[in-house]
Amino acid sequence: MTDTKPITFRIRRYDPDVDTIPHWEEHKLNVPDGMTVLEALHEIKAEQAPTLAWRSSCRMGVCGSCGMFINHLPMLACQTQVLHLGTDVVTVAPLPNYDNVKDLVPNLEPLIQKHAAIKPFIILSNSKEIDEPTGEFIQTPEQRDEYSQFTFCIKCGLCLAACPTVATDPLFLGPQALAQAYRYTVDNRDCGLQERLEAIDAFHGLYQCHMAGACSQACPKGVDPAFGIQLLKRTLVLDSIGFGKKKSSLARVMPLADVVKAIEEFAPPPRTV
Amino acid sequence: MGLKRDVSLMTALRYKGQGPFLTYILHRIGGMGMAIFITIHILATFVEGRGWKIGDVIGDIYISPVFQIFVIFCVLFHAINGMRITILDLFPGLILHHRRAIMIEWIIFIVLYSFAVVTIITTAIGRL
Amino acid sequence: MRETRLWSLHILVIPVIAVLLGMHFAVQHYAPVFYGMSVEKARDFATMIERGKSTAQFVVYILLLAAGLYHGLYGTRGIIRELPLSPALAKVVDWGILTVGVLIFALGTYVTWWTFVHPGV
Repeated sequence: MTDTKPITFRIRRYDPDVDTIPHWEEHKLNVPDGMTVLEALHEIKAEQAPTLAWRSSCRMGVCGSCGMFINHLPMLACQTQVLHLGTDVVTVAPLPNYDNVKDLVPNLEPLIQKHAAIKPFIILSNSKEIDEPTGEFIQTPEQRDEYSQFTFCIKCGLCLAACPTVATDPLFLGPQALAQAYRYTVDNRDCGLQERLEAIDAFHGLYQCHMAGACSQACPKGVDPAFGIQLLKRTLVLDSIGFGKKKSSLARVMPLADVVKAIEEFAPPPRTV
Repeated sequence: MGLKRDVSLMTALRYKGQGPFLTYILHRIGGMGMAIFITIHILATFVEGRGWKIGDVIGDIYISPVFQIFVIFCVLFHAINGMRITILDLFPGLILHHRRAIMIEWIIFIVLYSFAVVTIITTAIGRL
Repeated sequence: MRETRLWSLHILVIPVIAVLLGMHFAVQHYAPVFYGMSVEKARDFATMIERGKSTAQFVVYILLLAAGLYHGLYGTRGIIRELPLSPALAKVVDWGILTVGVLIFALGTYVTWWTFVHPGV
């Protein structure tokens, strides 16, 4: 039988149909080594608190659904082992800086709206290229490496929960949106910086970041949004004084005929069976 | 939207964002402290030239070691933390060493602030 | 690019403030080290008026006033604008801060000029 340790889980409960204010509930569980907070919540729900609500999905840190405030820090519940927290009492609350829907479920609408505000898609200089493509875009591994770490974002919202500026200024775009703005701006296929300026170069945009760095500390995927924000500041400042990079999506199109030739060059070997 | 959030202001202020959050809050306190001090400072120089009584009151506040310790805290912390932020703004690659930079910043601040506080207190004791 | 330019200026004035404020500190608070003068003498009204006649001090003080005011008021604007304000009220805050800045700059410039032209004690 595996050794277990008795842990008390102090969980924030709130049912909008019943409660006017949230309250805390304590549940004791014998936790074996390796059990994550998410697994513990499943156990508690199965045996002690059947109405407990939270969001989760993949259980392996790729969907970003299970972001919670665990021992006063934003973490993914599926990636946090209970015994690694090192405390006999584990507090679990919904992410701060978001409205609370129920129990441990935050309303992530602000995260999604802010993300949409920065137009998180490739914006081409020639929009005809989308409907009538003349070829494939060329991107070297070095060009991809410039933004690839920012593509690790799983939109878990932990960075906005950690950000002290979001806590005081709910309209602040936040580290997730700004890091993604950089991801698309620096992509050599994208020419959409001017279109994104309305959101980024506003008062509640880029320059409300005061370099607390809590976002990068909280990020479970190593995106380092604070780094993205710094790079975006540099990009915008250089652009404002005329030293920005001039980009044209069309310049990097490989004509279709060359694409076909490349495919033929790398065709698989003939079948042997 | 944010005003309806479930976390009270007190909880938000007590949020344990650790080192980076603390430096952010102290940077703001330092900045506001300096803004108020400098406004009074400029008005005080205007008043002193006219020999108004309010100038004596302001002078008494300036002489107070508690006031001086608070003002030097605001100036030193805001300046040193601001320097860290500026360096990280200019050299984004250094963000990898963000936490180390905060530690170095605290060491520099504690050394300079201790020196200033000792000077202020010994001067105040000397005046007694 | 308005916010970018405002923020860039906020950063650019930092070394200006660091140098000029350092000079101000050296004169006001470290007079025994740099001038062999007691702190009380350095802050004496007559000494201050004597120092104020220097063109270099006049220029330094005006620059320090402008740089410090801009930096401080930009930061203050950042804090006030974080409150939930309507767009109209946000504009009022911006213009209000600009007005306060201009007034304090005018007052500080007047004091500095007054010292510069003072006949002496």
